[in-house]
Amino acid sequence: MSVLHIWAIFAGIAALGLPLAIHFFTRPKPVRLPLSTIRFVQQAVQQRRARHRLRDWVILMLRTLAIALLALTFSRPLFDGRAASVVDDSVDHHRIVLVDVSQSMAEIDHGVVAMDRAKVVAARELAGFNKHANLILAGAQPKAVFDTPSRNLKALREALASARPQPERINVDAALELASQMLSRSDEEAKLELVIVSDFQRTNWASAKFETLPENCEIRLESVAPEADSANFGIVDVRFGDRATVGGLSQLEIEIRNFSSEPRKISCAVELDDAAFVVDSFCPARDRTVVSHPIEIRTAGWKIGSVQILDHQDALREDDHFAFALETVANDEIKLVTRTRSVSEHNSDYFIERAISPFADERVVGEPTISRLLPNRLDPQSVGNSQLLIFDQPGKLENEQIELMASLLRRGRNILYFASELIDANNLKLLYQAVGSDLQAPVEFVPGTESSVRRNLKIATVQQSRRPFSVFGETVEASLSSLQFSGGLESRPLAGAIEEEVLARLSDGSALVFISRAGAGNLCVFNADLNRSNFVQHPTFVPVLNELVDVMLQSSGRRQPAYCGEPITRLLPTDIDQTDGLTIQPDDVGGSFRRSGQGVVWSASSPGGPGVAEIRQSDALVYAATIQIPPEESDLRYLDGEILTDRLAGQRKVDFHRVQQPHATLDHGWVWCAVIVVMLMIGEVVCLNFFRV
Amino acid sequence: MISRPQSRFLELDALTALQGMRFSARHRIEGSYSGRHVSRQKGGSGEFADYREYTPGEDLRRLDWRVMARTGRAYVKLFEDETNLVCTLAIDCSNSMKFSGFNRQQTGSKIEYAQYFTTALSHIISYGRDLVGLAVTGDRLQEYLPPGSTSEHVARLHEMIQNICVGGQTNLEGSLEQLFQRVVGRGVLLLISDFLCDQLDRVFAALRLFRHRGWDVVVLHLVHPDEEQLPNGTAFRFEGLEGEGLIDCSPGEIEQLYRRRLNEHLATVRTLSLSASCDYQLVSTATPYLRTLSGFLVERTG
Repeated sequence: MSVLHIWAIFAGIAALGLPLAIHFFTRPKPVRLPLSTIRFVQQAVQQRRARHRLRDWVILMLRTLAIALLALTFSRPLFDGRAASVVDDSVDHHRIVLVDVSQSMAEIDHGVVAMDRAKVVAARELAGFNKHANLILAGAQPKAVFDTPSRNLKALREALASARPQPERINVDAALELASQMLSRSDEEAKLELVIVSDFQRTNWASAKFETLPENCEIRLESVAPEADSANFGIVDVRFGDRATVGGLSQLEIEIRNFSSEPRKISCAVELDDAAFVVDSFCPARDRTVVSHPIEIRTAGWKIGSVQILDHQDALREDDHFAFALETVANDEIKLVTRTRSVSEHNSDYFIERAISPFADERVVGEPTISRLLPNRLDPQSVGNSQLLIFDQPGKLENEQIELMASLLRRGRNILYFASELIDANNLKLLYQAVGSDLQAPVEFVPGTESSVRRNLKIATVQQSRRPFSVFGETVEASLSSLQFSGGLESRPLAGAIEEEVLARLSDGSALVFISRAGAGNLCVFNADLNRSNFVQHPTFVPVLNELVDVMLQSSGRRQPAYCGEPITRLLPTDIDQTDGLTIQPDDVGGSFRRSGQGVVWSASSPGGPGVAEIRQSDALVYAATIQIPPEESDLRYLDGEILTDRLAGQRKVDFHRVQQPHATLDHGWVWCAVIVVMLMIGEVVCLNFFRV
Repeated sequence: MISRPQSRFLELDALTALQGMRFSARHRIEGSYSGRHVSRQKGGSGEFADYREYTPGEDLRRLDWRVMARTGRAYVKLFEDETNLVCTLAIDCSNSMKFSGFNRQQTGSKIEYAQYFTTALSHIISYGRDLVGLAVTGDRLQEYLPPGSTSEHVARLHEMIQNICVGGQTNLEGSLEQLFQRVVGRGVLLLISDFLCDQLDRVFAALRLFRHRGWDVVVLHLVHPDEEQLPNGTAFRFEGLEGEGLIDCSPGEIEQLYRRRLNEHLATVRTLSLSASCDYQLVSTATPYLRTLSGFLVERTG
């Protein structure tokens, strides 16, 4: 037998002493009186004592039993019918108990939190175990109580008692690896055992590998998941649908996922700066819904807000609230980096400039501004706060400039590179190297040979459903059919490339345009010599270019999500060049600042949360990051035991057991305890009547 | 002649109404002088009572010659003479007698009652020209004043009653045995006590000594009303007056058992008294002593 609420047992022990304490402290002080006939009082007391001793013992026993059973009732005993495992004293025994503390363990099923069930199971594994044991609390960064299995079971039980679900996802591989390291260090003759207590959420455990564990290790899986997948809603993201600029209306988008099998109507309360409103939405079953609401942007800077799902009771409450930080800008600034010094109506840079900003002399609120920059002037000061850099015939870029471009990409700036000359292949190659693994470009560009002159190439394939070509709708083929591109570079796919990132290909198979994520920013490469193509004179030039610019600028407002418990590293804006005076709020986010060649870096190994991390310099908010619960924790679907034991276990023998649920037949113990308590109280009344008191 | 101050227990004004009453013994008594009490001795004066066969050695002047001439057998005449009452008042002054109830004024104790009663009774007895003596008993025979009738004797007796100091445990049987060895002749023994002692049968065995000698024994059993009814309340610590120790209890829980035990004790004393041919009277100190005294005298008025 095990109990869900061990605190009730201790409360019962206190309750047993409470009547005695009350009696002791409240008993009346006896009045002292002389009495000549005291002998008769003594005889009467003795006679009564003898007569009522049995009654008093019976009453005491009934009351003590009633209080003890009442405490047991509140502790919710679980009778899962399993016999305790027999430990052979002659053999050393090492047992690792791995408890899942990810967010999904806060799920409530029939009034019982999954973590409470897990603690009962884990406590049972540690109770009465007199060999070496250890406890791993597995979240984003699994932690063991001791470095090696220990006999200090008291410390393990205390650590287990204080364990709580964390707003993190479980790193299954890291947890199994940690357990494997501990078991591998054990004696060869020792019996090894790993007990995993988890809900075995599908999103986390579907790729678990047990082969890393020692071969002689017995593996037991104790599932605390409910019998059926639980209905849950969760807010997974809040963002501006478009680039949020001052003076305009931006759409605040709230992404909600419905993990239940039934559609639901959802209301959300939103607070953003001074604004507060409620949005309603209808969420289809097992689907995502994006609810949008227009927001007027009055000032630039960081906006802190929150969203709360109203009046809804689902299995996981923690994902019903989402705190977010979004950045708004005054006007988008675009730099056109070109070696062309003078504005010539026949050059591609002219057309680019005019297509983006037709009214060069007027500054239209909400519209991006574009300015020219010579490549040799390219430095952090000249870049300023530009969200997009367009490179058109920049010539040979120096290493410093390449490094700056890579740094800007990592910090969330965007680059649109028109690859028209042979030197651009080298520039892009250096840029790939500088960005490193943060960039997963689908193709690399190589200078063409003399025999492969790229001339009058047509668009062979295009991704019609994606921007920029989705703007043409069903007429995309007809719209683009007359385009001819010349110049540019040959391309070849890279290993591990994502083909979908190539938005269009030319008739020679080379990539015309692709957009790839590079750090926090995006790199878009348009592979054509605009001066030798008819693109700039084609009607599609302006919409395509503006769509590309818009996609780049929109994505520059987005940040890589930061999840609770997982390391975060952020390059702070370029205008922050000193670490002095920088503070982080709230305190549980933690982290430190350091200067690097690319600027000031903030990093935190295990940020708390969920919430918004605010970085302030001299009390001014200079940067904010949303620390959120990993969205997969909201998906409360669990793996079948067979999948764990057959497919995922591989060649290993894995024993799977599902903990009985509180509403199952074997957990009517608390009901019987309550019935017995009532019977004991009736018995006390009968006993008192029998002894005529 | 020593002038003694009047005892504070002597209320002459209240006793005026009772002075006309005489204390007489129920049984035949022996007295030194010719008084109104019926004497056990059948002497030469007084009314002819009966004949008895002559035994050798008796005084021949008491021989009835006419009966002898008539019957040829020797008989003597018996006469009923009237003599004085000799009364000894025995007062129990053990610690239990100082119980005065649960009020805090410490008045109305059993010993005070006994003092008032015996002072009044001794005055009545002496007023009838009878003899009265005093024995103060406790853990032993503390004081003894042989019976007398002079005013000085009575005043001294009253002074002894007034100066009684309670103390010690009850040892009635020892005290009575000591008293028995000191008294002479026959008379009336009036024992006033609460009989809160362990060996009641020994007490009455000592009283039988007096009865065997021909004494009349009157037992006045004193009970305080607060002994019959325990106080109301939830928690009391009762303290014994004769070293019985302390006991905590809630009176409500033992009331019935206590009353049963007390009534058994009262019944036992009564039974033992009657079986020892003693007169027995249960006296509650709640009853004014004058009422008790008048009732007592009415029953025994000669």
